[in-house]
Amino acid sequence: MYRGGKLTFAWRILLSLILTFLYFAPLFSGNFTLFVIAVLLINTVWASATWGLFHQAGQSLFAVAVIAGAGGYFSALLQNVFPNSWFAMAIALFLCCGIGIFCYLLMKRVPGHIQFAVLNLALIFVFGYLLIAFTNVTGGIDGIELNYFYPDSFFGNISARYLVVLTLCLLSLFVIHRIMISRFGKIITLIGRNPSLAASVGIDTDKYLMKAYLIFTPLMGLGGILYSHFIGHISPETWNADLSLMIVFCTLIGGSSTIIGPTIGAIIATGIPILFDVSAEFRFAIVGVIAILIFVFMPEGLTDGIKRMILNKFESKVSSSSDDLI
Amino acid sequence: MITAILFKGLSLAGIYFLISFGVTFLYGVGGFPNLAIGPIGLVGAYVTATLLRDNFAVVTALSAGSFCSVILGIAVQKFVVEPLYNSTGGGDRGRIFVLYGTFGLLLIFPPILLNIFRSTMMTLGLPTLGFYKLGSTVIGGYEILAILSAVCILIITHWVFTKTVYGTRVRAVTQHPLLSTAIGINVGRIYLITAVVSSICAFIGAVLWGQIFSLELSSGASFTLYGFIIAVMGGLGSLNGAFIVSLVLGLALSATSYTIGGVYEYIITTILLILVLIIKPKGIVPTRREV
Repeated sequence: MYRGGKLTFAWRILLSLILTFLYFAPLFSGNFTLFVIAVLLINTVWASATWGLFHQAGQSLFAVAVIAGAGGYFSALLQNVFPNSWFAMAIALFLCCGIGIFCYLLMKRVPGHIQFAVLNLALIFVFGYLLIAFTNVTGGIDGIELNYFYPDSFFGNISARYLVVLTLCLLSLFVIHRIMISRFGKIITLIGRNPSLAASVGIDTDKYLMKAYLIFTPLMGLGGILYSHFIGHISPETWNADLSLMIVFCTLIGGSSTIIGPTIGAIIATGIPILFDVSAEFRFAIVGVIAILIFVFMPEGLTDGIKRMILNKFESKVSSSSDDLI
Repeated sequence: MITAILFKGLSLAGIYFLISFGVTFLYGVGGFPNLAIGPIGLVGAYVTATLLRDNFAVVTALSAGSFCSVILGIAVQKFVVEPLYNSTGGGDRGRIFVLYGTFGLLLIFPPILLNIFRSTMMTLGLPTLGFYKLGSTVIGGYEILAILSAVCILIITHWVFTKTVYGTRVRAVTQHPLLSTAIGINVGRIYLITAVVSSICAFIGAVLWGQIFSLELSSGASFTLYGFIIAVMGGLGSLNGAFIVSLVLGLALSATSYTIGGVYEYIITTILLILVLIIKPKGIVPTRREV
């Protein structure tokens, strides 16, 4: 992807084509297509933020539904105080940092991946029950109607809302990518791979992990905020365990070495059910089947698995030609 | 009211222990965190409910249900858990992949069950075992059965583990699978028997739950969640820990449902889990196996 610290020519062309397609999509696409692309982009942000924490920093936090849902609800509740939804969104993002710190403190205390996975699941379930328990605040099962992005008169049009989601999602992905290739990203990757080694070379692992939570949890929250304002409604049924599991599967299906992995995972998880016109009840089940097949036959994920297969083929070709020389 | 809280709590504890037994036993012996154990028990209970609805004999319905759970338990162990564990090189990485692979099964089971049974909610039509009066409290026969089943299974497991050759083999496999293979123990068969026993316990738990409350498609995920919460709080792989936690949780939930009620039961459970993990991160009765 990179040569001499810069994007290769082929990648620049590819990215330019994708960006052109995405920005001009409202000119030739219907509302449903725009909705699908927006959901895909939001899933990509969730998957990439989860990838940063989960795979790179080695933190088993996958309660995306809780963080994203909390972001959406904070924004929805704050719209009563701030009619301008941009202020509400900014404060909601700030509050998501608080959830990030809470998760970090829990994670620090809990000893193993399985224990934390169970804790994640419990948090997802309890979040749903809390939303129902405090009906007078959260609107219960019916949820809350949200304003679109401010001003409503302009963003009442789906194309305008789509462009906001597109721009913010691309910006988030760019930020995650730049962070992961920066010195900070390399440090948290080292902590994720080998915390003892990181500590032994003088890295303050606690400080860096807390920073990682403070960066990635608001990005998860941003996905929730964008989703809620994009569709103009928020209710508990969206923020369930299925969503969180699907996002984890996106990161595992795609591969974990670069940000391309979760992006491809999100495209597969969102795209395949739509492509094959799978009914709503089987949408998550299809993702589950794909995930299990990939775990068994390509545990490193699609991008890394395909890369390995190409390298193996290349190496076997090189070795057979060198055998011919001998 | 105290007697009612006590008995409802004990019966809940019995059901929770049966469900968490599957999780704890599978993890304790093989180190496999199988999240599909809830849906495995639920499938058997759904089959039993369907057969009872179609006027089959109780014994036939229960046998067919337990058979389905066992077959499904073996299939999950052979075609999902073991391939996932082996393809990822085993060890901690293997266990994590088993965890996420069986997460996938949690997504797959509900729509399949909905399409087969065409119902999101089912009631078990088992014959009543009568009602018994203790002071002002009326206790159902199935609630007493739940308590007795849990106690019996705990006693039988302890007896098998300490007094039989099979128990010694299981303990050997738990402590050192490679060495056990070297001395001629068929480790694969031990894992398979473990899966069968866990599936049967999950089935009994699901049937008792369905008879006392009702069966829903989401019950599978709830069983798994409760099973794992209890297993983690008790100390992963520790049957005694699971028993103690089931008891505490059952009583706490019963007291909550009688005093506050509603969704607060689940909120209390999670708060208890967080508190236990903060105070005793490795569970109440920690074991040597950790991930």
